Amino acid sequence: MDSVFFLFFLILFNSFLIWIIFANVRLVILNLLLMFVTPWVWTLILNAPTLRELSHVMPDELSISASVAQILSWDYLLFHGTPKLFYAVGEHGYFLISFLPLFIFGLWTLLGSNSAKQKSLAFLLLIGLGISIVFSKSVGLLSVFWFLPVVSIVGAVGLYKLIVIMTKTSSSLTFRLLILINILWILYETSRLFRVIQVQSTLQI
Amino acid sequence: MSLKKINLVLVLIIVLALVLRVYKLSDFAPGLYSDETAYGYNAYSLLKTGHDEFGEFWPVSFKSFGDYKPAMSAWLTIPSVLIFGLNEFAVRIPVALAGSATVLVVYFLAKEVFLIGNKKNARLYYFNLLPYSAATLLAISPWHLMFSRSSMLVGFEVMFTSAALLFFLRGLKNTNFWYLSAFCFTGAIYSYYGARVTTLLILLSILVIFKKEVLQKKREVFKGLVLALLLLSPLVWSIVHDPLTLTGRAKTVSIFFDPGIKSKLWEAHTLDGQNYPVILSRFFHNKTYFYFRDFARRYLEHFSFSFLFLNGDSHPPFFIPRMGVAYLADLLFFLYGLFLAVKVRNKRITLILTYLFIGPIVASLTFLTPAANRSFNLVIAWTMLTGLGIVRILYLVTNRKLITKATIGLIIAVYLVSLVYYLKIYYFVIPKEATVEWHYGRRELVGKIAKIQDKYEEVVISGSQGTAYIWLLFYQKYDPVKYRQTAVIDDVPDGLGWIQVRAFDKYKIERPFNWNNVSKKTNTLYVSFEDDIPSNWVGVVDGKKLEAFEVNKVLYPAGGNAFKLIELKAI
Repeated sequence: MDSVFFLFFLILFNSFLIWIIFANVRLVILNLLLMFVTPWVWTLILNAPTLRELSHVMPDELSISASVAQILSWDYLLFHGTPKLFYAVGEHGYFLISFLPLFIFGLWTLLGSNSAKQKSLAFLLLIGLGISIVFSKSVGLLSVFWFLPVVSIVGAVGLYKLIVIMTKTSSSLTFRLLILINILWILYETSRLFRVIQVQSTLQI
Repeated sequence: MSLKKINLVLVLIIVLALVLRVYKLSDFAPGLYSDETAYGYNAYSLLKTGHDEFGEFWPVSFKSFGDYKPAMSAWLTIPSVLIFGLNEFAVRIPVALAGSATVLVVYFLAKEVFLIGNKKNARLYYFNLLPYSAATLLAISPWHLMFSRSSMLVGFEVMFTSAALLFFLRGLKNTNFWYLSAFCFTGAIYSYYGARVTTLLILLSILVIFKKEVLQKKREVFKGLVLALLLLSPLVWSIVHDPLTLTGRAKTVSIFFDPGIKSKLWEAHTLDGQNYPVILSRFFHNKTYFYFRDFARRYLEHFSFSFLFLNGDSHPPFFIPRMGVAYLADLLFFLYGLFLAVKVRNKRITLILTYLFIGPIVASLTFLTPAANRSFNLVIAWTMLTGLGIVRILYLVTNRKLITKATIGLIIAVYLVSLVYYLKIYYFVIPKEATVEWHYGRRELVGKIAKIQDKYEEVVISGSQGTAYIWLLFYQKYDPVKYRQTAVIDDVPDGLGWIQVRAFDKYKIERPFNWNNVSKKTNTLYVSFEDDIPSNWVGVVDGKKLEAFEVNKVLYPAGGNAFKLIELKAI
């Protein structure tokens, strides 16, 4: 139950942050939808590994540079996630691979925006990363939750922007096709994620 | 700045690049790697006999160890072997010069991309410094220095590829340059296996990005293509004649021959269970997705903090201890340069961005990742974008009337410290920690063998580390014709695709080496890699008691046996 409360708090925090910065209900809803197809959220819903286990799984090396390398590695974020704990969401990272274009586009949108509030989200991400790196030694892998919710928001911003572009008839056909392919790819990976969760739930841990 | 001053700065940058690449070239890296030795010896063989070590007449692909090496490295080594003789300097000087030439190419390429074709942005203050900053960054780049000081194919490939891009862009105004571009693209293909894919991708990108310009000058494009095809025809013939020229290396390194993916797929299907519909199981777990996922993971590894700034390439001999392939100082400037390049992009900048993202593709198709050599094309766009970030930050600092000189001084100081740190690792740490990986000691070993080998009927060498025969050939400047007459070579490559040379002349190479299985005689010199042969060995052979006697040895710089020369005496 502790992980569900923790997740509830994170969802609330995310929604509040989006409302403060963007004042956009559609973005809040999109963020919620995206979170519920995100592996790290399901790790908390299923409470497997439990928060207690997560807090005890230390990085392989304890130096700050090694923590930076691990936390910032694509392998960690997109492919393997919590090392050596492959149950629940199986061999998935914290995010699906198909989210990568969303992050890139979301970050681009925020950094290129004229709004200081939107730019501040990028700085919030940096702050969260910094805290994760510094405190990864003392609280184990639980510390990554300092920046994962913000990354989810960035992804939601990216997806929102891509959907807006796709629905505009003036947009290039090639670009709209690529966005459609990305969305279909997200749907495919989401179906794989739920299938893997289904399989993992039947296994003895 | 006056023209004289500008040219002087450029000359100084090239001199810096040359000095960093040529200083103590024979001794650092510490040992001539097996591939370098093979290029050198095959160049020597071509010079003397017009045939490679296998007797092929001027091949466009060297069979070598069974990896069918592209020929450009050996071809370009011929003049230096002719001038300097067959030694480490002769093998490495061509790539050192190519690396220095690449610095010059990057200067002009940066000018072509950001200044000449980009007048709007050229108005930005300090932007005219961009070619200098890009060239300087490449001159001191640890990644580029590593591959400019060892003859590992990619140094030439990147020179040709970047030159091809430069000439293509020049050709947009004067199409005669497109012949040079075609020449350089084919040069890249003859230089490195991966260029066969990289060049194709770059050409497709050019076709998409510059569709209008290419269609307007169809005749000139066609002539360039015809020239390229003519130049490539010997390679095409070689592939048709022996398909292993194309596939030989791929089979040993490609992810499509990696059994790991297949076993993961099998495991996923097994977990689904026998009652689960097959069609659904294949929908969720299929080769396409698994190979794509594996490729994506390997591709993104080349943009990871660990590879770029912390650990680099972990595969010998390309790793740089205690640092990545780029300076940590590059991080901020590169990210800012990348952001700017995307923001102000035009066709030329888009081409460079495309080149950046094409760089790791070939490496990602192999299972040894991240790979500093196979993704080496990354370094060109990396330094250009980092240079862009630096000059733009300088512009911002000036614009806001901050302390400009202090900022410039700080940037120079940071890079100076980074360069000194890298040089310390290269000249002091690598010779201690990476001597095995760089095949250290072969020169000394062959020298010691050559002095005493006439006393023995046979020389039995441990093949535990590397391809022993090539160093014997290289350091003794062995007659290629005599070698071909006496060489005993396996007909079929081993499980990893390597062709084993078992013997030539009085030399016998045992691989794998197991002292217990080696035939023991008193009139034989045994060469042990490290402690393959116990120094205190005593045994009975054919009723005679024999004892191992250490005749000589080669030590690692940090201590410890690299090689031992042992004879057996009856006691």
